[in-house]
Amino acid sequence: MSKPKGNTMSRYRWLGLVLVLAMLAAACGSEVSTDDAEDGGDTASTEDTTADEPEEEPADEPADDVEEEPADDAADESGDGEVTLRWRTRPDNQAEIEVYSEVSETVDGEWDGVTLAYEPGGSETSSYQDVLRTEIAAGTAPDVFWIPGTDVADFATRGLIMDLRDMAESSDAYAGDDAYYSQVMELLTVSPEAGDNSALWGLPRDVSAFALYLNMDLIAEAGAADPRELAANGEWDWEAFREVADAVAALDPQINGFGMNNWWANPGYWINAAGGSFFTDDRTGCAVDTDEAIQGLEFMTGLYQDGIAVPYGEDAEPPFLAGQVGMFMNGRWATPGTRASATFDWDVVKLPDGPGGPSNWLFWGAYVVNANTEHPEEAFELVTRLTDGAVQGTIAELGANIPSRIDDPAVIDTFLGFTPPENNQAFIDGISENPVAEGPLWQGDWPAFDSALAPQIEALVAGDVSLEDFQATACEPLDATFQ
Amino acid sequence: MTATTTSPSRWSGAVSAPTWTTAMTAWHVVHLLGAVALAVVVQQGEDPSGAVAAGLVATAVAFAAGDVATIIGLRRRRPSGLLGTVVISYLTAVGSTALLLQRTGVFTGMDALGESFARGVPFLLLAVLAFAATAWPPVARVARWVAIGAIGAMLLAVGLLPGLLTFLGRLGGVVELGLLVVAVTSAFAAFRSRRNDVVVHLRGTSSSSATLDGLLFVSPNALGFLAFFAGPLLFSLWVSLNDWDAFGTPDFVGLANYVRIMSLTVATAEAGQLGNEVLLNGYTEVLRLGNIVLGAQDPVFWKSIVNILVFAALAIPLSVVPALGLASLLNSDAPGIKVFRAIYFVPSIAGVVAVALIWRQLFNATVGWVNYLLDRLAVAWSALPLTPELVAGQPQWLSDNSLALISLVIVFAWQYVGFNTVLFLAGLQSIDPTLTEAAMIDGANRWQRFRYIILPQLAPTTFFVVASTGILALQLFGEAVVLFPTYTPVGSGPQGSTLTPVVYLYDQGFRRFAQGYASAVAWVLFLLIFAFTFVQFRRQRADVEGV
Repeated sequence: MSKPKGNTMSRYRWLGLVLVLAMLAAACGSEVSTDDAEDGGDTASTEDTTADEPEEEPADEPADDVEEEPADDAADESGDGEVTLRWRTRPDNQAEIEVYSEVSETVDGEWDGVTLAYEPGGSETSSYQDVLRTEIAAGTAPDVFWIPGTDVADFATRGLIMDLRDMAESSDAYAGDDAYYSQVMELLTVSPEAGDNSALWGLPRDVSAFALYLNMDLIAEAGAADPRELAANGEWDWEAFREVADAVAALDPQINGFGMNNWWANPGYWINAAGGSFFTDDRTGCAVDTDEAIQGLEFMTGLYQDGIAVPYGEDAEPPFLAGQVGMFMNGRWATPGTRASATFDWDVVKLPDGPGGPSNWLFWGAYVVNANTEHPEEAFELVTRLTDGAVQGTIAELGANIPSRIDDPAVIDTFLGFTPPENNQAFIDGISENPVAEGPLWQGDWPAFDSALAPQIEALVAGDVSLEDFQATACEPLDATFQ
Repeated sequence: MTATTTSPSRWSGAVSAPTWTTAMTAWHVVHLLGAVALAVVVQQGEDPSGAVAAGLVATAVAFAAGDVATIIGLRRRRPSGLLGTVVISYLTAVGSTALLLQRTGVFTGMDALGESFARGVPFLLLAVLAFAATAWPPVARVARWVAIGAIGAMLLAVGLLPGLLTFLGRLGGVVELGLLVVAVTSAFAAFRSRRNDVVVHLRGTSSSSATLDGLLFVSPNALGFLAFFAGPLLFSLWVSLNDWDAFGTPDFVGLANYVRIMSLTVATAEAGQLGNEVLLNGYTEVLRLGNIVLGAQDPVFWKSIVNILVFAALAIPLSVVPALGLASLLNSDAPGIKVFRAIYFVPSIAGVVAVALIWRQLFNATVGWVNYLLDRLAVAWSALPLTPELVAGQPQWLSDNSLALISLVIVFAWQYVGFNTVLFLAGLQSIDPTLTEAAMIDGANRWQRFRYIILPQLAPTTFFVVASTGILALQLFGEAVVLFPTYTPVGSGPQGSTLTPVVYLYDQGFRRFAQGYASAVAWVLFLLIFAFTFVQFRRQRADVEGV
């Protein structure tokens, strides 16, 4: 005799309910097993929200207008007294993720009482900073995270990151401001309230600089002079650069002599190398309308309007890697991709000297401490551990960026030994010869400045705006972005 | 009319309906006091603050009002008492359970469960297989036990036991225990109050019972809608009235954000005269028609509006008209036609990011396939006898401000034509064939049949296709961001030529910390989309009435 269908359905309903409840309970179990089993913490701990645990006050109070919320419950002390710290960087590729994971495990293993959970953030084009800001607003951001140098002022003035100066002064682990590039530390120690350099908003993870990636096969085919030799002889200036670019571009209509991408640093180099600047000397106003800046932009737009450069706005890296560009301006971070993809003879050379002399950018980003972390002392120590000589050496072996410490020559040697490119010294020269440090705008709004400048330069390059009109009108919307 | 009764429950005998009603009255008094206390505590406390506090107070007040009405209903033995008891108890049970799960870390533990779940997958597969085998009588009994055992093993493998222990351990806190008691009590109150004796005692009707059933039936969806759609929507409306960076305390500015967005001015300018020379202070030129200059306080927003209107004007016809043509072609029984239908539908199931990434490579001016193809076509054409030489040039699809928006239109149309084709195909296949047959008999040619029979019959489908495509077009975001990632703001394209309102509000909200302003932009965009849809509705209605 068959059983009533309703009874069967009821049984399945109950079975389903029990399954759901069991899975919910198992969710707790997964968490516990993760915490207990993971010593190194590859898996970010998502524990522990019990209310009866004491909440520690941050040692350094965030700005008054910031709603105080714990950075994340994962930063709580585990049941065995371990402090769990989450930290994050913006890696450029999987190799970097693996290296930082190893760094995290190594530091974790050497550090009693602290468990680290490394979280690779998204790439630059996947809105790393936007995600980070959202997590900060939601109170779920990591205890320590990396941000680009241009963002430091924004994060600091909004009270999102902690002033580490007091902890640095009482710490034996801190190597001192002098252990890092002075141009970087000058911008990283600004105290907007005191108007001096008494603060410390973080420590630089690494630095980088531009270079020209050379397709030596094309240059040789064009019969142009070797830029590396010109640089060695002190003859590598804009005129020499233009001659090489013209010669390569003359090879074929499909070949470009030069290529660069269209973010702010690229036109910035031409402005700086001509003796100009984005900003006034005190960084409180726009200066892209000076004669020097206009001279730099005139040279740059000439490259495009004369048809020797990859069109401005097009990604110049694919055609370079396809062997269709003679010289490609990019940072050290492009080296791993070039090593992996280039099938031609390639090397690098420093950027050509402009009318204002040698110039380059000193790119940097910093590890900073979440203002709402529950473990500021441990978080600061983590920052010092992530920037010590051993870790810098490990990062240098990656070859993607240049170590930020200048007090350990061995680390630089490690970087120089990472070949190809043979001429790694070009990057070291780049950050040694009058570099302009990428920097936060302490008296302005960098994203607004960037957003207002970029379309104007695009219009200039496209020929929609004349240099005269640009000089006359460019600074009006840019000045409005300063406080 | 009293409610239809269902089978008596074993719960009914333990407590009589009048006693239960009295107990429920007391329960709602306690509930009322709790709601009032919550409102007072939140109102006078500093944490939470802002919108969260306002939302909590409003919820508490609503519950308190509901409690009062329910108490009155219960005392007077009215169906409203029954409705109030069930609804309030149900909501309290759901809310306190959610809070309990949150406090015990179950929600966050779900992430970790994602990792440990893999350990249980083999057992789950075994359970599924065993369950399938129960359909074969000789092994049904054994298979059933295997299925049950496999499910048990799966739960053990994913960590049921440590999870249970942890969960029980975390229930030890006062707050957690309190929430558990409230959840169980509320759930039992809702459950018991649905029993027939209580329904009859409170003079419930079949109508009120049906209402309750309906409410309970839709409650999971309705609660999800309130929590994850309507709630954030109202929150963004409130945020739009504030100057807020998402971190600090919101500064109420009323309609100032909207005023800045909507502020426009008009002036006349001589040839060669700059816009800022003739416009009011604080206004920037947006558009110039002859010697008339249109200025705005936020010219970037208006540029985004102009962009999106041009985009929609191009993208909607290009996504709809070819789709109708394709559907007409595919509406046949030709051999292999299903393969073609599938091929045209494929782009619409591909992710926006994947599609845009591929198109970014295709559109590359120097090494992209589009320009390569154009070049090959030009070469082939030039090779033909008696044809003039043709040079393809090198269109800069992604870096020329006059072409960038066209590139976006192409990507958008390519992606949505297939989906629209399927919709039109469904519409075509639902048309009564006798209509076209009758027209044929009356001598209508192919075009006349299409124009006067097919198109009018397709009007509802056309309305849906145009409206949904229009909404997608006006909300354009992902394609722009992926095609133009290096521009500032990201997605804005050369000289801002692909800046859309959603790209703009994203930049304002997440890059410029202007959450209030971004929310105001979002609401203005909402009104634009609403107006577009409303016009479509009106046209659809007019068409129907005309027919």
